[in-house]
Amino acid sequence: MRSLFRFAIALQVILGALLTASAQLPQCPLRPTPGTVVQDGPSLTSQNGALSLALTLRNAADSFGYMHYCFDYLSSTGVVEAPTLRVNPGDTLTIDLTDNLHVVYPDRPNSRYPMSHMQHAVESPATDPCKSQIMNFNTTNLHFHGLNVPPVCHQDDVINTLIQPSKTPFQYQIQIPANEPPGLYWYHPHPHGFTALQVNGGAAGAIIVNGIEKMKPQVAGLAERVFVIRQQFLDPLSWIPGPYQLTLNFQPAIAPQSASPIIQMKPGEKQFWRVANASTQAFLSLAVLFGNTAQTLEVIALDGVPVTGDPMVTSIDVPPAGRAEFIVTGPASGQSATFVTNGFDTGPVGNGNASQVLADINTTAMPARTLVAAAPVLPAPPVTQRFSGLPAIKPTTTRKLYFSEAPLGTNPPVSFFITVDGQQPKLFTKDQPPAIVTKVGAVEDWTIENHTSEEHAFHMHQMHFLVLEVNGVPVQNPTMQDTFNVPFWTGHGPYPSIKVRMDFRDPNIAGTFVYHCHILDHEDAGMMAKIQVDP
Amino acid sequence: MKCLRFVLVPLAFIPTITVAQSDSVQKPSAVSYLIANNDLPPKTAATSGTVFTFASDGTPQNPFHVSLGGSGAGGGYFNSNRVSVLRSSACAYLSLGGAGEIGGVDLQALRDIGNFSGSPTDIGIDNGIGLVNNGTYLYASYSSSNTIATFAILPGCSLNFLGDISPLGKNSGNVKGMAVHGNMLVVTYGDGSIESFNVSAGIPVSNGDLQNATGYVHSSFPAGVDITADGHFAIFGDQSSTTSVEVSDISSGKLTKTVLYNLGAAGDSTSIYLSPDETLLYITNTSVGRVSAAFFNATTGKLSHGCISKPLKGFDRNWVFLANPVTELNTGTGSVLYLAEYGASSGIAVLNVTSTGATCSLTETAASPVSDPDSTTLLSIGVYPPRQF
Repeated sequence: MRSLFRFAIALQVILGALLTASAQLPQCPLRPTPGTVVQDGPSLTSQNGALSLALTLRNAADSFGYMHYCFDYLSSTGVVEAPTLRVNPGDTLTIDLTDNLHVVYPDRPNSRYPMSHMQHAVESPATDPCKSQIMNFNTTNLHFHGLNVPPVCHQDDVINTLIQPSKTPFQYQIQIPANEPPGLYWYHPHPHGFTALQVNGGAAGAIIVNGIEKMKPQVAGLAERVFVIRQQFLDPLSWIPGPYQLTLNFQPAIAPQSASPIIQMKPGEKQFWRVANASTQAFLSLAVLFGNTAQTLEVIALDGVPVTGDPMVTSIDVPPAGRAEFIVTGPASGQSATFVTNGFDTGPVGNGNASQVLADINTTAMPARTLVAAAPVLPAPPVTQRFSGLPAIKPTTTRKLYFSEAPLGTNPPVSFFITVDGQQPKLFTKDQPPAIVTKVGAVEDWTIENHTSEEHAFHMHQMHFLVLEVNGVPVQNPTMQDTFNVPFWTGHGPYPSIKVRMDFRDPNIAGTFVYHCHILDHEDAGMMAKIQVDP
Repeated sequence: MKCLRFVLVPLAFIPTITVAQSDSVQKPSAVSYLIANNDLPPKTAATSGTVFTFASDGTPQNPFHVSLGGSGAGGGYFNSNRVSVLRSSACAYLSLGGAGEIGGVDLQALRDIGNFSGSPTDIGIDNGIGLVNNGTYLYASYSSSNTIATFAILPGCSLNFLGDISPLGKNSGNVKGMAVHGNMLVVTYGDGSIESFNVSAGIPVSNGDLQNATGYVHSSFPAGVDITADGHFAIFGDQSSTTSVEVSDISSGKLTKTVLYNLGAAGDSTSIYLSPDETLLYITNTSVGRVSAAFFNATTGKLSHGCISKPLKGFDRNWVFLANPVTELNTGTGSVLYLAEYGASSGIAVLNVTSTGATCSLTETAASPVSDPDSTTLLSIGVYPPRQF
C-alpha cells in the first residue's frame, strides 16, 4: 500500500527523469491533438507480392511526461508512426528494424519487473541478435501477433531474438501463408521483461491481410476504418496503476479533461470498423451508443479470423491484444452517438477497467476515405482454409494448464505463473526447457484454469485456437482466437476455465514458441512458458 | 494486481476508524500482551501500536492505543515482522516504515519511550522495516534502501545505532526476511538466494555462504525464515504458488543446501512460525486466506503434511492478506494461533490449535477475528512474553 503522497513523490522523480531524457533525445512524431477528427494511420500496401519497409524504434517523452515508443517510418512526406501494413496471403513482408532506443531509467530499481532477468553483460556490437544474451530497457524485437508464421529468428521468434541499439538494421522477412485468414493482425515488440514498457509507449501497428470481402461480402465497398486502441501509463514502471490514457489512433480519449476524439460518418452510413486492442492491460467491452442506447454491431471477424454466421451483438469483449472487426451503422444527422468501452470487471485483485468514451461519432457529408474492395465477380480460387474441419477432429491429447500468482507482500513483487498441471510453477526464463512438447499434426484440447482473483488473457503465439467451452459450458458459436479471456476466481467453488482446441497440423509452425497472459505486466513478470512443436 | 490496495483500503476510510482507548485511560494490568504494529500509510495519520490483553480463552481484548508519532509503511512484505519483542525485559520494538524509525515501547508502562533512527540513508517506506533481535542487538532491514541496520539494545528499551550493511542476493535481490539465533543472522533475498552472517560483534559479517536455495529452480523463493531453538536448522517459507518450505542444516555455522518440501497446493508460504515446542510449523497461505501447519521433527529437520484451516472469516471481503503467525503461549503448540489480517477491516485472526503428533487441527474461534480498531493495514503482530528462541 502506497499513499498518494508517495506516488506524487515518485511521479515527480520519474517526470524529472523523463523530461531530462527527452531533452536529449530525438522526438517521436507529434501525436494528434485531443478533440480532433480521428484519422486512419498511414498505410503501406504490398505490390507484386511483396511489401518492404524500414522501421526505427525510438523513445522520447512528450511534454506531459508520457514516454513514447514509436515505430518511425520515413514516408515521402516525412516521418510517420506505426504504419498499417496491408498484405495478401502468400506475400512476402520484409521489415528492416533499427533499434534506436535510449536508456531512460538508468539507475532506477525495476520495481515492476523484479525478476526481469536484466543482463548488463558487455557484448560485442557484432553479436548476432539471434544469439544475443542481453535483455535490458533498450533491447527489442518484433512479434507478428496472430500471424501463423514460423517461430524462427528473422521471422517470428521472441525467445532468442534480442536486438540491441545499433545503426545496422535487423531484417525480418516473413511469408504470409497462402491460407492465412483475411483480417486484422498487429505487430509489437516482445522482449521479455520489457514488452509492457515498449507497447505502453505506443509501439504497435496494424497488419491487415487482405481479402476479407471474399469471405464476408457484406463488407465489400464499405468505408473501412482501422482503429488501434493503445494505452499509456504515465509511469510505466510503477506497480501503482497511476494516471493512464487510452488513445485511439494515438489521440488521447480522456474526456472530460479534453474533448473526445471524433469519428466521422455519413448519416446512416454503414462502415467497416477494424479495431485492435493494442493496450498493455485494458480489457475492453466495445459498443456504439446512440444517446444511451447500444446499437447492433455485425461481427465480421475476431482476432483476424472471419466468424461463422453473421452474429449481431450490442457489445464485443476484446481482451488486451484481441481484435474485433464489425459493421457499424452511423447515426442520423445530428444524432448524439459515441464509441465506448463499457466497464469490465477483472476481479478483486484486477486492475480497474472503467467505462469511458473512446470517441464521439459525428455525422458529416464528407465522403469516406478507404473503401473495402468490391466483392470478386468470380469465385476465389479454392484454398483450403487454415483450421478447416477443426471442430470435428478428435483431439490427440488433452492437457490442463492454470494461471496462478504468488505475492511476496502487499506490494510487488508478485510471481506470475502459467503452469502445466502436474509441473512445478516456474517463472519464464529464456533458457528454460519447454513446458510442453508436441508434434506437427497433433490436435490437442487444453483446459486453462484461472486460480487467481483477477482476469487473465491467454495468448498463443504462431496459431489460433478454437474456443470450445467457458467454465465448462460449451460455446454456442465457437470462434478461432489467438487471445481469450480466462475469468477470475471468486475464491469459492471450482476454478474458472476455458477449453480450447489447439491445431498443430501446420508444419509451418514447427519450432519453439511461447504462450502467455497478454496482460503484458504479467508476461514480463514471468507468466509465460514455452511449447516445442517437433516436425 | 496493482490497484488492489487502493480498492480495498480507500484513504477516505482512515479518518473514520474508531480509535481504541488512549493513553489517558486505564491501562491493562495483565502481564501477557499481543502487540499489533498498525503501520498506517504515510501521511494518512501518525501510526501507532495497539496492545491487547488476553481473555481466558486466548481472545485478544482491551485494545490499548500507543501513539508512535511517525508514519508507517501501510503494507509491505508479508514475512517481514515489524514487531520484535525482547525476552529479557518487557520491551517491544515497532517499526515505522514511512518515518524510517523504530519505536521502543515499554510494555510495563505501555508507552512509547522514543523513536530511533539508523543512518539517514536507511529507508523503509516501500515495504516496511523488518525487525529481529537476539537480546543484545536489534536488526532492522529497510526495504527501500536495502540496508540492515544494527542497534545495540540498551536498558529502558532504548536503542543505539551502530551501523549498516547493504547485502545483496546472489541474483541481485534485496533483503526480504531475517531471523537471528545467538550469533547467527540468516537472511533471505527474495530472488531465490539466502545467506548467513556472524553477528558476534554486532554488525553482521557474511559467513560466505551466499547461495541459491533449492527452490530457486522451481521459482520458489525463500522469504520468511525461522531458526530452531538449538540453532540446528533454518527453515524458510517460500514465495510460491504452492505451500513450499525449505530447511537448511546450519549446525556447522553456515547454511547448507536446503531441502525442499511441498506441503500442499494452497498458495503462498512466505510467512512461517515454529510452535514453541517445535512440533508444528505454522504457514500462512495468503492468497487463499488460510493457514497451514506442518509437522516438524526438530531432530532430523524433516517436515511432513499436517493440517490446514478453512478459509478464515472475512477473507476477500473485509481483508485480503494474511501474515505473521504468533502463538499465545510460549510452550507446547502455543495453544492459540494469531495472524494479522490486512484490509479495510484489519483484525487479528484467532485459531485454536490441537495436535496429537500425527494429526492436527486449526479451527477459527467464534470470536475471531478480533478487530484492530487502529489499523487498516495490519501485517505484523507479536506476543509478550515471546517464544523462548
